[in-house]
Amino acid sequence: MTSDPRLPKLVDWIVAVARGELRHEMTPSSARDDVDAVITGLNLLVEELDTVYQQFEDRVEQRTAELHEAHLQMQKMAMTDPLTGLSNRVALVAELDKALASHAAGAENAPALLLLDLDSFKNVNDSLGHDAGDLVLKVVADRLRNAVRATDFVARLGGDEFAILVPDATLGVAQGVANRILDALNKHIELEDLKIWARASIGLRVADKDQSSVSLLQDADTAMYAAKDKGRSRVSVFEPVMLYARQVRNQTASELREAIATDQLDLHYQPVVDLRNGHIQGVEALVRWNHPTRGLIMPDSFVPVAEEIGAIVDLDRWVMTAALRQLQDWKTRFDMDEAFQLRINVSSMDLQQLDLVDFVRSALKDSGIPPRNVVLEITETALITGGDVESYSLLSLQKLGVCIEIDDFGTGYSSISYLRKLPVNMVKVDRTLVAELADDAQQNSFVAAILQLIRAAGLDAVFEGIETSEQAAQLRDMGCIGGQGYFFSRPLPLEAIEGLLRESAVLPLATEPALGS
Amino acid sequence: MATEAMTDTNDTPEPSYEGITRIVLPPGKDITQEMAAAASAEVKLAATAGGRPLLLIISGVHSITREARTVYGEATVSTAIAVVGESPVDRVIGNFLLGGAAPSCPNQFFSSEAEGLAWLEGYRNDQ
Repeated sequence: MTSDPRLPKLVDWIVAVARGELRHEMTPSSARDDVDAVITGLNLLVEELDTVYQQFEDRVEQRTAELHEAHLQMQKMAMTDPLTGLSNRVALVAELDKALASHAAGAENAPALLLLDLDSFKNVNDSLGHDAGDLVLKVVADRLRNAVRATDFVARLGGDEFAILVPDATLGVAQGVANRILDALNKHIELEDLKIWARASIGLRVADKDQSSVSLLQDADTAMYAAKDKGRSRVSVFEPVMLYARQVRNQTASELREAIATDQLDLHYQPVVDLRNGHIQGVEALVRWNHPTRGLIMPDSFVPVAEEIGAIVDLDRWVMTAALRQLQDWKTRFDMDEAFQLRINVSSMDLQQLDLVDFVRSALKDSGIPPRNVVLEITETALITGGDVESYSLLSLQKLGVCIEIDDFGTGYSSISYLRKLPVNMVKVDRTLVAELADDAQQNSFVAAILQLIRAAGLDAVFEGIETSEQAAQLRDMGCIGGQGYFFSRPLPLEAIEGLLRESAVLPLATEPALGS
Repeated sequence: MATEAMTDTNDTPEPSYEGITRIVLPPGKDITQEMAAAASAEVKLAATAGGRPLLLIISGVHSITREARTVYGEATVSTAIAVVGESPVDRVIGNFLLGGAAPSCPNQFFSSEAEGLAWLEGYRNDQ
């Protein structure tokens, strides 16, 4: 039997295939016999293997590209704030480190950091919902992007806090950027039918040589808090003395809860007077803090802190309980007028608590005070921006029989139509409207018109901030009945207010020097 | 490529191709996707009255490409397919054809046309 000459070639080919040379081919002969069948089969297998390898290679290449893309994406995500598309804190710190290193290495100008916090942003979230809040943050981010220069670096640090790194800055340049930002944020944002102002307080710190990014961020933050304290929508340049103020603030925050729990708080009372005869219609309870080492602390210094740390509800309720207990005590000791009204401030945050109504109901029950003797003062902004819970609280409180009063009327939205819509009984007109009375005839007719409007809405009006006899006379002539202010009496400690109540005093007291100075 | 409705042979009992489509792929050729598609179109044309069995003769074809194999796998109008090839090489190529994503109808390789026809009998549309 002669050996088939195709067999050695076939073996060589199989050897080559075993080495991985998949493209070498033999052509079957026209005999189409068994050896040709092996050749055909091997051709098909080689082709198949080649195809599979090719597919593998393509897939590996594609997957590698996808992985690379995903890696880049993740890197970007890790450095980006998903809501606004701005850089995040991690990215900012990396940029800060770069800028600080370049300054340390001899770059002429230091980098500056602006830290920006929106004023009252929490109100937007609380009263209009988080979607509205997110929308505001996006608009703010866009405005910041447009307000800075191409070389500046904008980041969102979280919540309503933003930062702008101005590399290679002088104080003047950085202040310029900050002012442009304040301008940009000065325009309102339309949210459905509401106009929102997302103004900001800005802390500015130009880096010291060899300063770390952590310390730079802390300083800018301190300056930002100083800006907030000075009154919103401002820029504050960092000064070392601010560190002390910050420390005090932090101390206040940590001591406040304990102060509420351990009755370190105290109430002062400012009379509300019948302008026609000087009789005391009621009092407004105002909280003070008898600090064991710092002495008497005024509410301006701790109420904002209480709001910030979420202790405002406890604070409000302490005031309510203590004031009602006091009124109960007075009723047993003094000949109080049936219509005497105790005014208590309720914060917007408390108004959002579902248990507020129950709390008020049981506080009234415990003290035995008729609801009509209690006026809850709620700021205009809290009333108008309130959501479902606030509306529920207001309506239920009104059903209880307590009076609801719009506080600081004329400082917030001031839409007259709200006067008719809101479940309120009284309006306390803000001191700013009273301040210019008597000096200015136009202002007088303006205030008279406001009074008429309030009356037309079926509400009673009280004017606060009356400091002179002229103002009191003007308001009385306009037909206004209730008034409050230094002209009649400052807020008084317990003993002093009891003196007035005991004697059914007529204000202003003749012995008291003309107040208002 | 030739398509024959019937092939007469004088000395054997005449097989019945009634109701069966018979496609002969051209011997000595590499069967490409286009050629497969043309054959498929003819199969469809012959099946206007409904599904028919298919006798696919591949004897002597040089090769069938992967793409052509895909066309075979997409066959829809045949009720059954008998792939016929006589040589060992045909057997390899035929089984390569069947080894792809096979069509949904029954399909099998036979080394003679008579065997293929006999198998297809069971799938003949009596109408």
